[in-house]
Amino acid sequence: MEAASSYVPVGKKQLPKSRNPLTADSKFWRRFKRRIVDEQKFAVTCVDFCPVFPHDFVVTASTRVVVYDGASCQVKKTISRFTDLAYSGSFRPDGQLIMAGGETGLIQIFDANSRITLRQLKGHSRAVRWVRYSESDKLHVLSGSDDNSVRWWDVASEEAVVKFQEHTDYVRCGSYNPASPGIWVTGSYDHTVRMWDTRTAKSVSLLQHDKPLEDVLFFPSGSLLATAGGNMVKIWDVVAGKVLTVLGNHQKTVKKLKLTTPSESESRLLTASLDGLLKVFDIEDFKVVHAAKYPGPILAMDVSPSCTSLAVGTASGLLSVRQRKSVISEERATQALEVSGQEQKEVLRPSNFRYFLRGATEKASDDDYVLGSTKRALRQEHDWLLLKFRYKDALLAALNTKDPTVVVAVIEELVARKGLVQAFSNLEVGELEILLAFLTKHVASPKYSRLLVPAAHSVFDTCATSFAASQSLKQQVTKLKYAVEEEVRLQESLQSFQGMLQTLVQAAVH
Amino acid sequence: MALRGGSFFADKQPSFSCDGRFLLVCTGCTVSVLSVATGLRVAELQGHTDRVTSIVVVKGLEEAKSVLTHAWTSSWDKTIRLWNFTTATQITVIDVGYKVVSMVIPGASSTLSDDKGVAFLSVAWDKEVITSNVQAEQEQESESDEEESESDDKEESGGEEKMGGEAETKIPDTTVIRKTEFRGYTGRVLLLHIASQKTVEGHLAKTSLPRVLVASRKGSFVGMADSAKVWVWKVPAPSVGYCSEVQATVLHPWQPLTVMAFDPTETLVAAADRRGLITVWKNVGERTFYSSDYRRGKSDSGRADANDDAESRTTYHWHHKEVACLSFTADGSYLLSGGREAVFVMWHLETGNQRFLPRLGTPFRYITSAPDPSVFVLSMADNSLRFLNIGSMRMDRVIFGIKPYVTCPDTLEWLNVTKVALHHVHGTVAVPTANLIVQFYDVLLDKHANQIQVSPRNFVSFDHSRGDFGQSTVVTHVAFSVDASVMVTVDLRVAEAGVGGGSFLKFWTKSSEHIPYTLHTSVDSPHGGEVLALAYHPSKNIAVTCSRANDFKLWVQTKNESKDTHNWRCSATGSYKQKRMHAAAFSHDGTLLAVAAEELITLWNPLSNTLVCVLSIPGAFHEVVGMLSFVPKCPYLISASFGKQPQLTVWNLSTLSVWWSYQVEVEGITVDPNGGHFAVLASSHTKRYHKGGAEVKRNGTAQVCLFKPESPLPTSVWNFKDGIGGALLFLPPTEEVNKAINASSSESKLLILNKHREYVIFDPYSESNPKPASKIAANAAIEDALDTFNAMYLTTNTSKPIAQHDQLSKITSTQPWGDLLNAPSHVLPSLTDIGQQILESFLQKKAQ
Repeated sequence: MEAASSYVPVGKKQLPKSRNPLTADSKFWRRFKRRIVDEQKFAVTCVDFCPVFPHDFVVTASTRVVVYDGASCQVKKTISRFTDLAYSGSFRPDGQLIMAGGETGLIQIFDANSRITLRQLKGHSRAVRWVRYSESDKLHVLSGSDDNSVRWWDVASEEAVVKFQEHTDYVRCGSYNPASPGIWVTGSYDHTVRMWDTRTAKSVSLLQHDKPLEDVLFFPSGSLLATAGGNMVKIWDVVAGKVLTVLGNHQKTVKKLKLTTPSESESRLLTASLDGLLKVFDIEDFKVVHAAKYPGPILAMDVSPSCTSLAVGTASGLLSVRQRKSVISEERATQALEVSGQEQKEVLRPSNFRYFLRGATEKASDDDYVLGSTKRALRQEHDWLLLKFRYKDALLAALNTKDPTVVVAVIEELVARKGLVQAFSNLEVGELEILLAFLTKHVASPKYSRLLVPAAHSVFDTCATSFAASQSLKQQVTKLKYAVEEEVRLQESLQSFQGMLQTLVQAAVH
Repeated sequence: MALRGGSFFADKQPSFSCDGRFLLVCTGCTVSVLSVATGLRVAELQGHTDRVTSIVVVKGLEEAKSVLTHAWTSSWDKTIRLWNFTTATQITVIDVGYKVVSMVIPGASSTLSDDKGVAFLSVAWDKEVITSNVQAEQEQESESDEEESESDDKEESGGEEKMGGEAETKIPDTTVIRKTEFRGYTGRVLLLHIASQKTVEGHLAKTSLPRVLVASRKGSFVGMADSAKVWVWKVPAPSVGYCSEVQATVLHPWQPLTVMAFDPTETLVAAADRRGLITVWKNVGERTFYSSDYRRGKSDSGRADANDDAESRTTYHWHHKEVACLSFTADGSYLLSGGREAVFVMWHLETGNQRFLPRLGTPFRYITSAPDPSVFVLSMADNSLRFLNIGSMRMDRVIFGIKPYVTCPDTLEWLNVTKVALHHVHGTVAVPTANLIVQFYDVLLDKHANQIQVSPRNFVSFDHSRGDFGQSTVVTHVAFSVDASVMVTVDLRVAEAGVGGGSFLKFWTKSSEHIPYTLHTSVDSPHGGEVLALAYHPSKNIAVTCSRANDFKLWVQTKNESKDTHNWRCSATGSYKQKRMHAAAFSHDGTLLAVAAEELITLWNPLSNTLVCVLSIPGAFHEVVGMLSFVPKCPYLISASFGKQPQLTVWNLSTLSVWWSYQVEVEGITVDPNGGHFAVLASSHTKRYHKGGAEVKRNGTAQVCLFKPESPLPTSVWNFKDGIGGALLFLPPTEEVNKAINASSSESKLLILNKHREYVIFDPYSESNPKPASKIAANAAIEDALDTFNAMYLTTNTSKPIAQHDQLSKITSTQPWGDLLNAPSHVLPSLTDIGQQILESFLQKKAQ
């Protein structure tokens, strides 16, 4: 045992973990870190990921269709061949072509690389809001239009092969049955979902959703169908024609449905709604496993096929792309590989300084015997100041880190040294402002309020005379006052809410 | 048959043997000879009947140094003795007639020859000696002075040993003698002629308090730092007849001094004061002692002070608090100092440069030089001796003793802290101590086993002048599971200006043999207020904490199936009528949990979290139950309450009634794990000395009483000096325990600690109990004192044992209406029906 111990640094305040630990789903979705937030001028009406790596995605907003790079999320190409609004920009399943409908009723097909207009499908009399390539043969396109018709196009000849006209209102959505080629469903504002066989001009079956349909989506098995209309999502057994379950988790119209496809069993259903919420459902029991809030009504949403990127477009023109962390690091690793591949590993010689550092960063392998290292604990700036008993400076150094856990730990250390009041009383006007700003920000946080509320009292007791002297301090104090009042209001409303709940619970019990 | 140990050996200056192989330390009323190589005790010099105050090792010629094994000791018992410390035999006893606080024998080398030289004694001069009618007023004045000085003392000693402030016999401190009795002592410095064993007529100095004497290394001078001056005496020839013949000079510092030292060449005198300023005078005493040489050469003009006999004065200032010890290195070029900052400072005298050894973690008491000029022994306030090599500035060896009690701040005096906890590992107990350390002490081997700092913390010495005594962080409670695999601690942070106070509950697990415990779970502020009590379930992993916030919580270890780890969670919270919970205890089969709720005792089922029963002490409304304990294998619960009328109560749980009770203030309860007996530590005198509004217990003697719960008559009673503020504990009768105290019985052994943490282990059931004497003071032995006990308590006994049925019948029969109303209220007939009979019963009483 060492008689003269070394200085014990003041680390971060360890806070207890949340009582409700994150589920695996929450953890997974929380790993999606924001990569870009792009302000478009107009509402983002459609986002579509390319099924082919690196999963570029196409964003439709206003009259433009923009292709983003899947890895870096940078704008790759911009297609602006529309005279009016463009809708439903999407990739052909092999990623070679991009097509989009338009307000004029014209459907255009572009080469994804050269942006040349390859085909123009004319025939719809009104806006085409939904258009998709056939996933089975790359030769056909199905489109739904505001002229109540659904058309099945042969792309090469630019001709509508089949014309379905049983819908009585706008057709705004549709889905391709992955299990049986040639079977499609379309949803219309006439509250019905119709299933088509492209070989006949008549609908095969009809499902009544009771709300204008915003999106329909086949499950990979082809026997389940999700339909979104109004604030409800219905899950249908297509074979039986019955509703399996109704998901009423959204407050406003659900605009977009999407299934992730990592594997059959772990697949999740994503729903995006005008209430700004993106919800994730487990498709086994259809329970919400995760939810994310976006600033504004969500119009478009898509997940990359590898489930690594999540793109969301809102009515306010915000495009938000989130990518999983591992993707970013993988990307970095590949970049690093590229770099190292370019420069051949040079042989170190004694003339090089690094020659003498060889092996310094070597990691011990599993079967190595590791000797304990006498590593000195890292000292932060406030530690150095505490060592010199400069309490006020230590407090300020902690405040400068802007990390509340550090500040709280330093305040606790000062209390243990009986130096907090001294530190407070030595503060000058500018320093007091920093302290008050910190208190304003964190005094209401339940994690720290136990310590910070008395600390704020103590500050007021010791520094009251300085407040009168400075105008800026007065403002800070007012801000702090507002923060406290806000919290008090919140607590009061919570209490009244609790009271209301109690009466309800009581009534329910008896 | 009885084992004693746990002395505070950093309290007095130790001394090396001539060859440097042994270190002699004062351990209470004995002197222990420690081997420097191993740190273990080699021999113990027993004979003094009170605390030993100083040791002087006899020095001789260089060739004979390994043969010379003699040492003089002085003691509080008014004697000085000469010992052979290798054979541990006493050679001479000289009765001085005064309590000796400090003794130096300059040039003690000559003591083996016929010409034995003189001893300087600093003695405690009882004030009573000079009492007369005329002086009464003056005495009062001086007393009030002394009170001031005592409060000063408190400031000095403050942090480390608050307990001492209430003691009857105060141990002379490092530099200033604390007031020893209410009446107090002044100091005198006397000269003793060793050959004739008589004191030389007169005295060398009068001081307001007895002070510590210092001899120079060569033995030509003796010095003493008084509060306002430094005395330097030239050692006279042994033939000196009067004290007035001794040549002396006095230096006048600017501030009251704490300590002084001579340099090896005897030209420098260093002294340190309370502000931390070290003053070094050069060529002290040239005029007085070498006057003829001096007058030839120099003039008076360059002197430090016109009146002082010194050539110049240099000051060194780094310490900002009082300096506790000073020492010169053997070549005289460095000065070593240490103080309350826990920093060792090495001054280069010529340049004033310093070298530091910081963060020693505890205040300094003494620096002692070893025969090896590079080694110094630092006596630290946490009862450790550290061998410092000043060349490498590293500790060669550390000897830890049992650490002193932690000092609670004044605001927390009501807190019933754990003083000692049974560790359930053979022979070790856990003692919470200062700086958030829990020490594991092997009481059988009297050896430090291990220690844990509950929370990483840097030692900071507080400014006691602002009146904040005590620690800002205290380990208040420690508990162990029965297999010692789990330790639970509660440490308390004292709030500063209302900010940041609160308790921290920590659960520790034993992971390997070498590391005592590792932190498993930490709960910040487990309750709204401070934690007042902690108890651990005897068989399951359940702990209970009671708090000031009027609730108690059950903490349960649950298994996390998925990760195969264990978690500690709060499984239940309970409260009773918003009463503050002061104590908790589990029954030994673990089916009952008793929690004290102010004056009531609530019994709970800890497994189903249901209230089983509430017990209330009859007639006690203002008392607070502060201790609870179940007696194993019999249905008794013991409670101790505090307040105006403190009470020890034994409950019979099969009848839910008071079995018997005493009006006695209890300091500690322990129950025999084998069942059938319990022991209490009770303060003997309720007589209290009132001083300045604060009640101060003056008599430190406590009684340890061994009871059978069935009977209020104690089986045995022992008086225990300095027992107040102590603790007691039953040790299970393991083989090791029996071996250590040479007992063979299968009974539990009792461990008693006094307030200085000196302890004794003995078999309380043994008839041939050798009256185990406390180590501190043999004259205050634990003795069978049944008579005194009877005299004290049985007369003032509040309630004698009454069998439940008798008691009930008595209660009912004492009421005039008999057992008319002796039924639950909901089955009673209406008042109109029985009113007639009640009134009649009253009338009958009158008529009788």
